[in-house]
Amino acid sequence: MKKKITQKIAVYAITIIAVAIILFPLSILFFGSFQGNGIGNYVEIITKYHFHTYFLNSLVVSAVTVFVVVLLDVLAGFAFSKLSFPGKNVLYVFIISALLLPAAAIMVPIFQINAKLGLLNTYLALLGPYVVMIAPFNLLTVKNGFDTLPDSVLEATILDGCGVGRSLWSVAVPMCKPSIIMAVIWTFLSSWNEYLFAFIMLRKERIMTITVIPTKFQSMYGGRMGMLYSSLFLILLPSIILYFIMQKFIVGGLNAGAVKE
Amino acid sequence: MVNFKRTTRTGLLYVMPLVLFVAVFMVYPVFYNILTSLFDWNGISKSKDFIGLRNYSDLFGDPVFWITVKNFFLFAFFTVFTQAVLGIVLAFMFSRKFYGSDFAKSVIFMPAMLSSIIMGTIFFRLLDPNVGFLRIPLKALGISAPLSNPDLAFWVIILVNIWQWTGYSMSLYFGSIVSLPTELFEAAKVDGVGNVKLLTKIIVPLVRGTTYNLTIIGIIGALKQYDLVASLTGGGPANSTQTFTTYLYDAAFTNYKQGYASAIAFIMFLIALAVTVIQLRMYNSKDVG
Repeated sequence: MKKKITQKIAVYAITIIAVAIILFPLSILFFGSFQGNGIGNYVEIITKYHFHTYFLNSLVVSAVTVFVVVLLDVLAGFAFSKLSFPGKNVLYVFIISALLLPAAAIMVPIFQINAKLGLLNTYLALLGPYVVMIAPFNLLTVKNGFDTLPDSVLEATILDGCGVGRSLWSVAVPMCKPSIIMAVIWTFLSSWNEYLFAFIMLRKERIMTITVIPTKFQSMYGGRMGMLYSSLFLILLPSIILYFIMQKFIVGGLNAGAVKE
Repeated sequence: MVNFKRTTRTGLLYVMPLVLFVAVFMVYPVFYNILTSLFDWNGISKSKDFIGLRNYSDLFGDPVFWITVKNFFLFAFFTVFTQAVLGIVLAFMFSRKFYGSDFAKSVIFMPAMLSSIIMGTIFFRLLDPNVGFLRIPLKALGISAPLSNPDLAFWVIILVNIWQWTGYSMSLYFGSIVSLPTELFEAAKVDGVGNVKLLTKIIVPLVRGTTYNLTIIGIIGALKQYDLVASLTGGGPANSTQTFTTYLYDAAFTNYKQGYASAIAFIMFLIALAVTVIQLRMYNSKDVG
C-alpha cells in the first residue's frame, strides 16, 4: 500500500515537472508580451507593422499547398490502394523515397529553376518544393484510410453504374473523411511552419511569410522586448488554436502514418 | 483490389501528377547537384569552369566540413537517444490514465506543432547574457553566455531540440503501448513484475518498431537541422555549430560557391541513401513494425 502511494507521488511529480519545463518558455513569452504597453503592444503590431500582410501571405501559401497536396494524395492514395495498373509498386516506392529527402539538398537547384522561370518572390516558388516535402508523408495517411474501406462497398457502386471517378469522389472520399482531415491539418501546419525555403525564395517584404519576419523584428523594435514577444506570440497563436481544436486528428494521423508502412 | 473496368489508364492517370512533382523537384535536383558539383561556379555568371572532383577534395580538406560531420553524429545520437528514453518513460506513465494525464500529454506534445524558428528565437532571448530569464540559474551552475561559448553552443541546440520533440516520441510510443494486448499487463501484474522490469524487459522489445521509425526520422532530422541553428547561433561562434544544412546555405547564398554547395548536397544524398538502404535491409530481414 505504501509503495502504491509513493509511486503515485512520483508519477505526479514527474508529470508536473515535465509540463512545467514545456510551459516555462511559452509562459515567459505570453507574460513578456505585455511588457511596456500592455495590450497596446498587440494593437501597435497589428495596426502599424503590416502584420496582416505577412499573415495573409502565409495563409495563401498554406491554403494553396493544402489544396494541391491533398488533391494529389487523394488521387494517388486511391489508385495505390484500390486500382491495379502496371508499375504500381515501383512508383509507390519512388514517391515514398522522397520521405527521406533532406530538403536543403534540393534548395540550390530549386532556387535556380525558380530564378530561370522568374518565379522568385512569388507564391508559386514554394509550391513545387512544398509538395515534394509534404505530400509523401500524408500519402501514407490517406492511403491507410482507403485501405480500411472494404472493396465490396466500391463494387456495389460499380453495379450502380458509377465510373472510377464518381466512385472515388461520391463514395470513397466521404467515407474516409477522418484520414483526409488529418492530411489537411498536417499539410497546413507543415507549410505554415516552414522557414528555410520561404526565407530563400521570398526576399521582397510584401510577399514574405510570417515565419520569416521574427528575424527582422529582432532589430526593428530595438530594445522593446514586449513588442518582439507579442509578435512571436501572434505568430504561434494560429498553430496553438488549431492544435487544441484538432488534437485528436493530429495525434491520430501521427500514429496512422508511422505505425503502419 | 476493386474490379473496375479499364483501371490501367485511370490508375496511371491518378498517380502521375504526384510522380511528376517528385521527378521534377527531387530527381532533377539530384542530377543537377551531381553535375554542378564538378564545376567552379558562383551561381550567377554564365561561365562555369569544369574542375572535376576538386570541390570534393576541397571539402574533405575543409575543417568546417568535419565540424558539420561531427555535429551531425552528435545531434543524431543525443537527440534520438534522449527523446526515445524520455518519450517511452512518459508514454508508459500516461498509458495508465490518471487525473490530468490527458492534459499533460497534449501540453508535452504541443511544441512539436510549433515553428522551430520561433522557438529558437524565444530561447535565444531566454539565454541572453544581460536580460534573459535563464541567465540567473545558469550563473549558479557557473555558466554564462552559453551561446557564445564554442564548447557549449551546440549542446544548447541539442537541448532545445529535445525540449521541442520529446512529446513527438512520447505520442508515437503511447500509440503503440496502448495497442499492445491488455492481457500482457494483467499477466505481468499477476506475476508481480515490477514497473521497471515491465518497461525494460517486456515493453521496450515489443515497441521496437516505433523506436526504429523514430531513429530514422531523427537521423534525417539531424541532416536537415537548420531552423534552431539559424535562430540560436547562426552557425557560430567560430563555426562550432554549423550543420550540413547551414553550411550548404552559407556556401550557396553567402559565399556564392554553388559548385561547393552542390558537393555538400551530394554528400547529404549519400547519407540519406545509406540510411534508406539500411532501413530496407532491416525491413526485409526482420519484420519490424
